[in-house]
Amino acid sequence: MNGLRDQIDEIEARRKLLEVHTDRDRVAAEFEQQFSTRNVRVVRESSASSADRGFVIVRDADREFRGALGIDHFRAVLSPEIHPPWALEDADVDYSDLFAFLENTLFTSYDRRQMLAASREIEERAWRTDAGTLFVGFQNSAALASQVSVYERMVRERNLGITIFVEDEYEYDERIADAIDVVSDAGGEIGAFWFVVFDGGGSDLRKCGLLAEEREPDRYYGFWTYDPDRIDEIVSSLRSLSDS
Amino acid sequence: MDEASLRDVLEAVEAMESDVSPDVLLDVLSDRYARYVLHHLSDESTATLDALADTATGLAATESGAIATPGDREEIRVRLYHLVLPKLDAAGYLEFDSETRTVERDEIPAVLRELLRKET
Repeated sequence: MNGLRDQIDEIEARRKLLEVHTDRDRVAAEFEQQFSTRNVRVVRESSASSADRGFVIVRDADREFRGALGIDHFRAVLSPEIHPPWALEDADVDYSDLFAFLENTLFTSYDRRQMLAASREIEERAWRTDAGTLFVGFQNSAALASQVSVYERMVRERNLGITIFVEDEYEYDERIADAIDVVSDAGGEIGAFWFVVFDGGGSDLRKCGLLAEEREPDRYYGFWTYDPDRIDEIVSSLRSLSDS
Repeated sequence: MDEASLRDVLEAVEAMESDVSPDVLLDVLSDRYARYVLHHLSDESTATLDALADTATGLAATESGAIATPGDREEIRVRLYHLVLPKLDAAGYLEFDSETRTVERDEIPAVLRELLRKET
């Protein structure tokens, strides 16, 4: 089965364009490095912006405008703080906007910290929705062990189902609540990916997910989305794994 | 705009030749989209409506701290086309060709250029 890999390949085919409107060489170089991938082309536009008020424009593959935001704000999106979902619930920042902006954009060279931050945004939606199932995939049981308390709290305080996939044979840990399903030794490609996918709890608007592959140690490559069709596809491929 | 810079404007206007109308000048300065357009034209003498809409949308997003969506950009583009560019054209600051949707810079008063430069 190669469902997860197909998802990444499909997103890869839609290369976005990031226009950086700034007079500062350093800023343009910073984003070029951050998006040093063949999937986001970074172009600098120095003409119409001033030093203090630089901004970025994201365009899709056919150059349609997808969004614009100030450079400071954009930096914040790229390096989000890590908050547990119960803290994000009260946060001032509307994370759904940030989320929408980079939706279906492949990211690369996310480190573990950024992956966790992005995962938290999806978990926060599940937390607020208070229904449905969250699917989480870890590359190994050590990675799972470091996050298990977050998921324990989610099933304890919210009406959520959680299914956790882990590649290696998971040593049963009594800390894991009954409401969490652990699918270990699922085989196939599970071990190559880090994913957090929320099925929306019955609402298309709440569906969202993150899927990434660790191509080098601590360097993740993938995308996040809240396109309901895409989430449905991923969920159904994960469900078929957990049922088998 | 604070009081001090407003005084600057009024003094500068008084000192200038009489064909620069303070009403027009203040009207332009108080319209942020007009400021964004003139800002763009301070770097380039010609521009397309789409390029101006991009710049105005980006600068507006920077100012508001929010993310501008395609819908926001479309609103700004329509606003430039129907309101802002005709106004700047009437003031003689630029020439707007609504058929080709391009703009050519004309005479932008020195006082305006100076104030826009200060603002950014």
